[in-house]
Amino acid sequence: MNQILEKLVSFLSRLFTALSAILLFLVIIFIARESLQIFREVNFFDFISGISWNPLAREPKAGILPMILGTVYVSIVAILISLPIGIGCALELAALENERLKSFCTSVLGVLAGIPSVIYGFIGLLVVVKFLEKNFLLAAGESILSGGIVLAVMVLPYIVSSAAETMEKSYKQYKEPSLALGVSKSYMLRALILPNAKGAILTAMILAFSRAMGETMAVMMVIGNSPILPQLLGKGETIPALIALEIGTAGLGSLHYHALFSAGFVLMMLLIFLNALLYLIKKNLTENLH
Amino acid sequence: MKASNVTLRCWTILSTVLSLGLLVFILGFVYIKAQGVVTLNFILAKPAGFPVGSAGGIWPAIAGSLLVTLIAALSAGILAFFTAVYMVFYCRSPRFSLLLNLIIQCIAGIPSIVLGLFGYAFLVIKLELGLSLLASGLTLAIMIFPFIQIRLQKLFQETSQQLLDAAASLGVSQAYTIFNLLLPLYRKQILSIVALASGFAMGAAAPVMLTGCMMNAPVPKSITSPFMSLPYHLYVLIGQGISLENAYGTAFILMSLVLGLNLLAALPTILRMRGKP
Repeated sequence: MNQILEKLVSFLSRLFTALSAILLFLVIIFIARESLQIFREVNFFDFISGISWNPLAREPKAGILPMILGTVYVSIVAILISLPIGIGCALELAALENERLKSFCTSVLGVLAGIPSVIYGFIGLLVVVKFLEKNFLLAAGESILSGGIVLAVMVLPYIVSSAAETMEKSYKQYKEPSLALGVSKSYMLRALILPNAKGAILTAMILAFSRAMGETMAVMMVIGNSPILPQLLGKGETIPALIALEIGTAGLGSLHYHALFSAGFVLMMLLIFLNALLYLIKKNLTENLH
Repeated sequence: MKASNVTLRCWTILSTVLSLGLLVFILGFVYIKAQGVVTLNFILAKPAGFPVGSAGGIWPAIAGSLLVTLIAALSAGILAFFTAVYMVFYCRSPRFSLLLNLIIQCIAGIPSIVLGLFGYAFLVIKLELGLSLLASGLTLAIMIFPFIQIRLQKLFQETSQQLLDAAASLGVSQAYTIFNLLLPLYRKQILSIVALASGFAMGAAAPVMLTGCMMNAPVPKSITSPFMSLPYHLYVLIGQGISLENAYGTAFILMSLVLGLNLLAALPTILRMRGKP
């Protein structure tokens, strides 16, 4: 009986591990298969660098450069806004001695990370977009800037938790020597922890960037969604928004359908690359610390 | 010298207050505006009016969201549990384990909308599941699988080697150790990780809108029927300007459910803190 159970668990754990490994390849192969067909009609370079998107016209145009730029643009705006705040908050958390207060702060950030993206989009539309319309005298507040602001709030908890984790380790490492030298906490943060946190800041940035680029709903609700080259105060469109908005009306197997899959494929490969990079950098960092 | 220290502290404290304040603002905004909209009738009635959703309630969306989250949590939980068990207790090659970790990290990197595309092309069309609760649930499962697996693996790796050695020296089998030692030890943490992941699954609109979620559908009768989901319903209400009032109500319910799951996940930590003097 026991041996059967042992065999069963061993078998199941192997089976499910194989399944989860296959999953990645299945996703990549399936998205690739559905997207490759478009390159019979449009060449890959034109697809990446074309600036007009009109796959339903008699002479279909499928260029996703505006969407690629839009995705990168909102993500950069988001990181520029949230990185200073996130790193400041991470420094404070790393040096917090009161365990209860610290765990309260981490759980608040956890809740912030858990709020559904539609709700961020909803509040962004009612607050950020309205604010921009009133104060910047824009005809429509839906813009790259409002997308960036909403995304900044969404990636903030990721920046804080990722950076604070590493900073806390180095804080613990230097705490006693600093105390022994009679150095103040502020001085220690400024002269020791912050300069030592380059790796932590880099990983936090990559993590936030990949989160921001893959976000669909929140951005889609506040960015205006027109496939034009993005400007800070003008409308734009991101790749996830393009897919979410148009896949419902794209006929199965049509050029439009395949073009949307190719756009997804480009985004996926970019993000998988970023995540693998992140994993390897993190692994190096932790090994260097020990 | 002193001045720059003060500036630094001002910066860190301000950032922290701002970050924590954001949550207060978001919660306050939704909960204050939703007052008066959320009644028992709003929760238990079907959407009505023209266009659909401008009147009535959101019960089918609540039921659909709960069911799809349940399917996702169950399938992702089982897959992640066995994968984590394999990586910690059966995998003996560090290189292979590094490769598997990298693969799981890559799955975590796939954006949810692309998973939606995959669910549509593979589950809905290739496997002929149709636009259904099952297809959406499985798509969400792929989305939350890495989240659960990474945390479970970390949890298992922190098991004290002494405990495992003691079990092994008693001649107990690996499987017995896992089910009689590990599971009771980590039952609360495992549930809390799965609850947190379920919160993510419940709030995700992008994967379900491609794989089975509808603007208007009854409470699903089986796992092959299409359904309504709260995040998508909220998106439709606000995106098409159907009803701002009902959008506030839907946001209120969605947020309460997700926060409830978060609270459930935090329960073991809270209880442990209470226990400490």
